[in-house]
Amino acid sequence: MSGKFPGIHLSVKNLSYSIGKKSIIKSLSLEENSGELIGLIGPNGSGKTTLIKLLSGIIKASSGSVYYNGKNLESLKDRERARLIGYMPQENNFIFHLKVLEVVLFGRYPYKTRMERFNREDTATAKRMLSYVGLSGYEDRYFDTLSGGEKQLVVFAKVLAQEAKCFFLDEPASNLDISHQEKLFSMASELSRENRIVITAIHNLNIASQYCDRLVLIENGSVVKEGNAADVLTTEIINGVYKVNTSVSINTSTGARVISVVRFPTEKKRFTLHLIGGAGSAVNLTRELLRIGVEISGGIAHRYDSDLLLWDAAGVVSYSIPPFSRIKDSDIESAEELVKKADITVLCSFPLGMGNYKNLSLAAEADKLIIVENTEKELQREFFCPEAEKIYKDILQHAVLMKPDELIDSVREGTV
Amino acid sequence: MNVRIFRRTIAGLFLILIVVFIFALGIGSVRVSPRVIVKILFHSLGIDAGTLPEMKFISIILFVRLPRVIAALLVGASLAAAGAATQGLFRNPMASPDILGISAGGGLGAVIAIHTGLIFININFFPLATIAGSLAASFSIYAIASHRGITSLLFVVIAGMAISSFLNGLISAVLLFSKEYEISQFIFWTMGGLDGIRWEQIVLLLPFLLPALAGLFFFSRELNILMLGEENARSTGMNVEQVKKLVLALSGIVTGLSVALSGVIGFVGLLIPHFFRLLFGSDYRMLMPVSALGGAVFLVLCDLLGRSIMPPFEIRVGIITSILGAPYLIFLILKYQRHDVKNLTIS
Repeated sequence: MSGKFPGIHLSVKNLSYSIGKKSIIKSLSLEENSGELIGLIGPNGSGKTTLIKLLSGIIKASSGSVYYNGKNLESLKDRERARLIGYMPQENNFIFHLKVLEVVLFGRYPYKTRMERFNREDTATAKRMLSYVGLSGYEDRYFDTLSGGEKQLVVFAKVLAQEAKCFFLDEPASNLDISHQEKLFSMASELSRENRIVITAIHNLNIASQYCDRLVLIENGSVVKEGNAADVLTTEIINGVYKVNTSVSINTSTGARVISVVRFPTEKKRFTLHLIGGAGSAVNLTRELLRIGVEISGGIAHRYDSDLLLWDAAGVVSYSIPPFSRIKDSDIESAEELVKKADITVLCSFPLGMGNYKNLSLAAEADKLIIVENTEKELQREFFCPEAEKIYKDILQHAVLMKPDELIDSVREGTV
Repeated sequence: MNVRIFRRTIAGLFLILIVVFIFALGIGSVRVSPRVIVKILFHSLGIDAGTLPEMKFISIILFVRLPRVIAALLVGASLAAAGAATQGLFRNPMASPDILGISAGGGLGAVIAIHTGLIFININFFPLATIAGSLAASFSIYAIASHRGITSLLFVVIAGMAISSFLNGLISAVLLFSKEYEISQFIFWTMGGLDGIRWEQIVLLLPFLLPALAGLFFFSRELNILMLGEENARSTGMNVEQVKKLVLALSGIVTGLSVALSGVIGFVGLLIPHFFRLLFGSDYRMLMPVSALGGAVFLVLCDLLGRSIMPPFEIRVGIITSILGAPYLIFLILKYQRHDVKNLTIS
C-alpha cells in the first residue's frame, strides 16, 4: 500500500441500537482521527460487533448518527459508502467453489456500474492486494480448498481492494495462528499510519495492547474508557469491567501490557504474611501464597527488582526504595508497620550486602520469623559484609528455618 | 470461472438441446425421421428444403408438437433459472420455486382468473394473474423469513412449505366451489402438463417471459457476491435488500408465466440447478445459463418420456418430474447428512 491520505475524522453522536426492548448500544459518542490503530475492547456481549457494524453502515442505528468528515453515514449511497468504508465480519469460513482472485475482485464492485464488467485494472488491483496479504500465487486456487486463516486473509484482501479510507475489522485474527495474526495486525497498523481510520474489535487484551495505538473500552454498549494501553489496561479498570482478578505486567521484550487472570481461591486464609525479599527470591513464594489465598505484604525491596515488579502487578502492598540505594533506618521505621501488621514475617533466601543487610534488622522486629533457605545448611546464603553475617546469626536464634516447599505446605495446611 | 470450460459446456448443452428438440418432434403416434423434421423446420422458416412429406405430417409437427416442445423448453429453462436464482438468493439448496410455493401462487392466480371469468374479459389477465400469484407468494416468504435485514436460511424453507400447502389448499377450494369441478383440473394445476399447448399461448407469454428471464441473468455477479454472506455483500456496496427484491420479483414473474403455460411442474427448479452445481460449482455466471439450458433439455425429455412410455395414454410431465425428483431430493438429504448440518448453505 502506498500514498498518504488526507486525514479523516470520525464522529459518533449519541448512537443507539436496540433489538426489541434490549438496547445493545446506548447513546454512544466517540471522536476518532485517522492515523492510529484503534482497538475496540470489552467483554463478550458488550456491543463491540454491533458498534463495528453500525460504524460501517452494515446495520442502521435506532437513533443517533455517524459522521465522516462531517458527512452523515446515512446520506451515502451503498457504493459510495463501500468506497469510503471497508468492513470485515468475524466469520468468513464460507464454502463455495470460486477462484480466490474472483473473490478479491468483489472488492471492486463499488467502482462498477450495474452492467460494467471488471477490467484489467481491477484485476491488477486485486492481484496487488492478494500479494500484499502474502497470498500471491493463490489467484487460481479455489476458495473452498483454503484453510480458515487463508480464507480470512482472502476476505481481508477483498476489503483492501475496495481501497477505502476507513477499515472496520471484527475480530480479524480470531481464526489465525500467531504468524498470520502478526501479519494481519501489522498490515492494519500500516493502513492506519497511512492516515486511514482503522478500528478493530479485539477480545484478547494482550493482543490489543501489543498492536493498538489507542484503545476504546466499552461495556454494556457505552464507552467506559479510552486512551493508550497504559491508561486503559489497568488492573482496577479491567477488574471492574470484566469482573475477574487480573494482574497487569509489562512484557520485558515487547513492552506491551500483559493481562493475566489471577485465580484467587474462594476461601481466604485468615492470616497475613510479610515477605522480605530481594533479587527475585520472593517471586515463587509470592505466586504460591497468592494462589493459596494468603494475604501478603512485601518489602523492603529495591525498585525494578523482579520481586517488586510482581508485587506491583499482583496488587501486593509493599515498601520500596530507589535502586542501588542503601536501606536507611527511616526506611525500617516505615516498613516496620507492615511487619507488625503481619502475623508472620518471612525472610526469603537472598544474598546480603551493604545495600540490603538492614532488611535483617527489619526481620528482627517480627514477632514470628521464618527464614527460608534453599538447602539444609544454615549459612548457604552469601554475605558481602561482615555486619550482615553477624545480625543474621543473631536473628537465627529466635527464628524457624524452613525450605520453600515446607513453608508452602504448612501455610496450605494452616500449621504455620 | 474457466472460460474454456464455460464455452464448451454451453456449446455442448446447446447441441444436446437441438438433438433432443428434433427427436422430441419426431417421436409420437406418427413417427417422423429427424431428417424430415429438419426439412419441415427449414420449410417453415421459408427456406427451400427440397421434397416435403404430406401436409398432414407438416401440420402435426408444426401445430401440435412444435408448440408443445417449445413450451417444454421454455418452462424447463424458466423454472431451472428461477430455481438457481432463488437458491442463490437464500443460500439454500432447497429454496426452489416449487418448494417455496411460488409455483403454487401462480397456480392459484390461474385458477382464480379462470373461475372468476377474468380471462374472458381479456386473455392478458391470465398471465397477469399467475404473475401476481407467484409474486405474492415469493414476497410473503421474504417477509416471513427476513427479520431486520437478515434472511434465515431455515425459515425460508419452513415458510415456503407452509405457504405452498396453504396455496394448494386454496387451489382445491376454488376448484371445489366452481360449477364444473373436474379432478383433472386439480391435477393440472398441481401436477402440470403440456398437452394441448397452442401457439397463441406461447405468443401471449413470450414478451414477458424472455425479458424477465434475461433479467435474472444480469444478477449473476450479485448472486456470486452473496455467497460471502449478506454482511460482506453489503460491505462491498451492494444494496442487498434491493437485489433480493428484484431477484425475487424476476423469479416470481418467470415462475408465474411458466405456470400459466404448463400448470405447476415440480422439482425442475430444485433438481436442475443442484445437479449442475455439483458438476461445476456455484459460480452463477456459469450456473444460470447452464441451468436454463439443462432445464430445457430435461423438461423436453420428461415430456417425451411421458407421452411415449405407454401410448396412447400420456403421463403428465409433472408426474414424471416428481417421480424423478423425489428420489433426488432424498439423495440430497442423505448427502447433506454426511456433511455438517451447518453446511446447509450452498457449496
